[in-house]
Amino acid sequence: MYVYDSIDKSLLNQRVAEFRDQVRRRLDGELTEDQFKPLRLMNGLYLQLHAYMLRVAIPYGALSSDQMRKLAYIAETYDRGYGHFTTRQNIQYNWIELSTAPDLLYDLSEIDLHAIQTSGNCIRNVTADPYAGAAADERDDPRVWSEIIRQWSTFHPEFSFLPRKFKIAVTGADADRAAIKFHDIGLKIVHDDAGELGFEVYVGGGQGRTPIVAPLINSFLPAKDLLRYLDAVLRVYNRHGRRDNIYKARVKILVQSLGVEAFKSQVDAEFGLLDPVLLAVDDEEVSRIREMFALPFLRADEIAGVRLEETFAESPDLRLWSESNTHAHKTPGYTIVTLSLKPIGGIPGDATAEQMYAIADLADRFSLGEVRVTYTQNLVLPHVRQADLFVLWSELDRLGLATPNVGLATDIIACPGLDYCSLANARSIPISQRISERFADLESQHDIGPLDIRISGCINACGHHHAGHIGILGVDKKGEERYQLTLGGQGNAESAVGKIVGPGFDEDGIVDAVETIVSTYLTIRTAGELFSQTLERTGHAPFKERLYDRG
Amino acid sequence: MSYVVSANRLDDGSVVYFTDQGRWSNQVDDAKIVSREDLEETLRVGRRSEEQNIVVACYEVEVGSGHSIHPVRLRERIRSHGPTVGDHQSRPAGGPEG
Repeated sequence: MYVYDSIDKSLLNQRVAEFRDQVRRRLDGELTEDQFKPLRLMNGLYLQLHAYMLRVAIPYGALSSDQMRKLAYIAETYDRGYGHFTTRQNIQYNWIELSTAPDLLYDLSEIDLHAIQTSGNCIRNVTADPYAGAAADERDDPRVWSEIIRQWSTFHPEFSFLPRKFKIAVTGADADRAAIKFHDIGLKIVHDDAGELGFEVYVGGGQGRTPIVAPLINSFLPAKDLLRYLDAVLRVYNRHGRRDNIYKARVKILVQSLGVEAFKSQVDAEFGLLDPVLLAVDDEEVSRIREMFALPFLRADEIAGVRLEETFAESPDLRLWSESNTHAHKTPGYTIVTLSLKPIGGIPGDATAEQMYAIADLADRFSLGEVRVTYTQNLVLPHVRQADLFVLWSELDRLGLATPNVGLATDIIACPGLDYCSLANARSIPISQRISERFADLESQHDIGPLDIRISGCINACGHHHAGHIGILGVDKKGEERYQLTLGGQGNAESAVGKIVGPGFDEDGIVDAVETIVSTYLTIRTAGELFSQTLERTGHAPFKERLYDRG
Repeated sequence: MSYVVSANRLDDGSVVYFTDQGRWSNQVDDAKIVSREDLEETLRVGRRSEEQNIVVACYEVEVGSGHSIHPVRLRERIRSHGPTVGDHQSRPAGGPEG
C-alpha cells in the first residue's frame, strides 16, 4: 500500500484545518452559501435530498484493513451505520452534518483518508483495475501510475478551476476492469516493440447526456512522459473547454467538436512547449512508489487447485460461489475474491459498519490486509490462498457477503437515484431490488451467464446504464416515473454504448421487460453463446418483438 | 393550488419546513400551508432564515389537499418522508425548531 510521506501528511493536515475554519466561518455567517459552496464541494460535501452527503476518496479503489475500519467508524459515528460504495471506487455517506464534518475529516486524516477533490470542477479520484497487483493477466500494476497521477493532480494550481469535472482511469491489463474508455482520460499500460513501458491514451470518453467511447489519441506514450502529456491534455481542455453551458463542458464535447485529429494536434503542440525535465516521471520516484505496492513473498502452490477441486466436490455451494466470485491470481495457489455487495433484494453497493469491520478483519486474516473497491460497487480481497477459500467463504456467507452473483444478472449497478439524490428524476434502487428478486434463483443466474444490468435515476448516468448489456434509465414523464430500456452496452475492453429499444415502461413494466429480454435470449441463444454475443448476432429485432408484442 | 416552504437546516442538512410560528420543523405536517397569492411573502420571510444562517436553499413545494400535507411531486414526498428503500428509512428526530 502507498504510505503517506511528510508532504502528503502536511497537505492533508493543512486541508483539514482549512476546512474546519471555513465551516466555522460559514456557520457564523462570515461566508455566504454562494462563497462556501465551491469550498464545500472541493471537500466532497454535497447538500443532497435529505442531508449533507460526503464522498470519501478511495484512491484507485485500494484500502488497507485499518482504513476500512476507519470507514466503518465513520459510518457508525457520523452517519446511520452504513456507507455506499460508488461507481468511482469511492464511498459515500448520506446523513452527514456540516457542524461535525470537520471532526469527521480529521478522523479520516488520521489514517490518510480524505474527501479532497471528490467533487467540483477539478481532477477527481483516479480509478483503476481493482485486481491491480494480483491479476494473472496484468502487464504492470496500475496503482503505481495511479498514485503518480494522484500526486500530480492533488491541489494542482492550474487545474483547480476546470470547465467541468475530470476523471481518469487506468488499467494494467487488456481486460478492462476500470471502464477506461468511458473516462475523460483512459490509460492502458502497454509495452512497445522494444519492451519499453508506456500507455495507450484515450481521451474524451464519458456517459451522461452524451455517451461516448473515448477515441485513442496516442498509441504509445512512454511512461516517463506521462505527466507531461496529461498536463498537455488538461491545458488544452482548460483553455478551450466550454464554460458557458454546463451540459457541454466536458472534454468529450471538446474532442468531438474539434475532431480527434485536431485535438490530438493541439495536445502534441502543448506537449512540445512543456518542460520535459520538470514534468518527467522520475525513475527513482517510480521505484519508490512501486516498492510500496510490492507484495511480500507468496509461496506458490501448484497443487492447491487440485485440493480445491476435492473441496468443491464436497461443497457444491462453494463451487458455485467460486465460479462467479473468484478470479485467477498471478501466483499459483492464490485467488482474487470478490465480495458481493448485491444480496438478493438488497441495495447495491451498501455495506453496514458491522460488515465493514468484519471485512477489515477478514482482510487481515486472508488477504495481507488489503481490500479493493470495484467500480461495479463490490469489494475485493485480492490475495487469498485457495487453501483458505472454504473458511473465508463460510465467514462471508455468515455476513451476507457471499452471494454467488458477480458478473451475473443480480450483480446490478444502481445509482442512489431519487431515494437519495437531488439530481435524480426517478428511483433506481427499488427497481434494482425487484429485478434482483425476480432473478433470485442462483442456478438460473449461472445458466444465463454474464449479464450486466445497470440502472441510472437520471441522465447523468452515475449507474453506468449506457454501458450495460441491459441499461435502464429512469425519467420523469409528466410527474410519473418512467424507465427507458437500452441494449448492447459494454463496459469492458469492447466498450460500447447501448441503444434504446423502444417506448419506456412503468416501474412494474420495466421489471417484466428485463425478464422478457432474458427469456428471449435463453430461447434464441446458440450453445455457449453469451448474452452480449447473441445480441450482437441478432440485433434488437427479436427482443423488440417480444417486448412490444401487442398480440 | 397550495404550497409549503422547505429548506435544509444549515448545520445538520436536515429537511425542514416553515411553520405558522415562523420557525422550521423537520415534520412536513407542521408546515404552514399557503396559497399561490401568499407564497411569495412566505418565501421572503423564509429567506430571512437564509440570511440568518439558519437554513439554506429555501424554496416552494406544491402540496395537495387532505388531512395530512401531501407533496404533489414524488421527489418532495421522498424528501419529506425519507428514502423508500430498505432499512434506512428513519428520519431525524425533531419538532418545530427555529
